[in-house]
Formats: sequence, C-alpha cells, structure tokens
Amino acid sequence: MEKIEALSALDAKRHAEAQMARAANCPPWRHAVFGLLMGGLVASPAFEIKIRFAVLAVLLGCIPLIMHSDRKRMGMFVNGYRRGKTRLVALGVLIVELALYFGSVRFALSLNDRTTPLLLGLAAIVIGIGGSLIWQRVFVRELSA
Amino acid sequence: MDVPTGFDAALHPPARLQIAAVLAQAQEAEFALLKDITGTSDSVMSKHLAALADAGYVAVRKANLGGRQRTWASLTSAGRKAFRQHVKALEMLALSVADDEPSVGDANPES
Repeated sequence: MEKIEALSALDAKRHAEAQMARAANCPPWRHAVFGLLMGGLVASPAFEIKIRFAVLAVLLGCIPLIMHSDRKRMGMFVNGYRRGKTRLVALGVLIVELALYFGSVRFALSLNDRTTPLLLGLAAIVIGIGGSLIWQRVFVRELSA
Repeated sequence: MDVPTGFDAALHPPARLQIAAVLAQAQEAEFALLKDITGTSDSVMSKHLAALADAGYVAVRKANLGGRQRTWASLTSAGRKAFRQHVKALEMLALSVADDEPSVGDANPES
C-alpha cells in the first residue's frame, strides 16, 4: 500500500464517522425519556411494594422500546457504554444515579420517609437529562474530530 | 522506515473501511444507513457486506422494523480486532508520510 493511500483511507474513515455523528440525531424527547427512566427508578422505593414492582416492570419494558425507537429513527443503535470518551460520561451518570437509588431505598425502607425518594427521583430526572445531553455532545465531538 | 503490519485485504476498499468504522461505533447499523454513509448503490453495498461476512468480520441479520424487512449489520469480535489493527497500520504509514516530507531546512542540503 502506498503512503498516500493510507492518508486517503484514514480520511474516508473520518468522513464516515462524521456522517455517522450527523445521523445520530437525538431529539429533546429522547433525552427526557432517559431522564424519566432514571427518575422512575430512583423514586420507585417511595411506593408500596406492588406499585414499586409495577413501576420497575414498566421501566424495564421501556428499554427495548427505546432501542427499537432508536433503530427506527437513526438506522442504528449506539450502546451508551461504547468504548471512547462517552464511557466516562455513562459511568459517571450510572454511579450518581445508583447512589441516588440506594439513598432512596434507605430513606424509604429504613427511615420510612416517602417524600425524600420522590425528591431524589426529581434530581435523578435532571441528572439523567443532563447526562444524556453531555453524552450526545461528547459523542458528536469525538466522531467529528 | 519498516512497513507496518496489520493491513487487511478485506478492509482495504474505502467503502469497507467506512462500513467497519461505522459498525465499530454502533452496536448495529441498517443497510440503508451504511449505503448513505458510503455513497454506494444497493448492489455494491450487498457485495461489500458479503465480502466482510465471508471474512468473518460482519454478521448480517434480517429483521422486521416498522412493517418492513430490513438488513442489519454488526461487527464481529474478529472484525473489531482486524479493524483496529488495520487502522493502526494506516496511521503508522500516514505518520511516515509526515516524517518523509522535507522541511524548509532540508530543501537544499548543499547550502
């Protein structure tokens, strides 16, 4: 292979990645859905056990629906924990959301406080939406570089 | 400079490298998206996907989405490894281009 061919091939690769970044459009409702899923998970301990499990079942059921929607809208599915700079964002969001969830469990089940888990759920919505927006920005920047 | 190893004939055509580049980022991508990104026709894309599948680098499946049968492609672990090695080899070769380019001071070594 000639050296000039290598440069041309790398340019073609970068071009494909930039095109992909443009195709990976994420509308505001998609970020909101992710935030609501996180909020629902964190707030779930506030409810009595039957409702709690119903909420968790709905949340689990939403995951394949979101994947289906992403595939239909973009023609691809990008794993949030993909290798790259976005993994740091995804892990950061996961750690914070899990901390909120376990805090919620403690308040609801150990301290019998049903209000704080709802407030933590609201915080989880905001963090989920913010995390999703940051993830998208990092993804586009990484592939467009 | 030594010629870098890791080049893969199956990934040499630019369209195939682009397909692998997209699939390396996405868990799965649809035929139409890959066609748009690479700017190829249906038949050319089919041939490239078949070549990559024959090499064991791409897995292809058909699935219904929105009432239509669509073709989805994903990179296998062998494909992911081959892509990484191929890109690394390309980058090494590209760097050697930069190294070989004469600087202003090298333009006339006699002076």
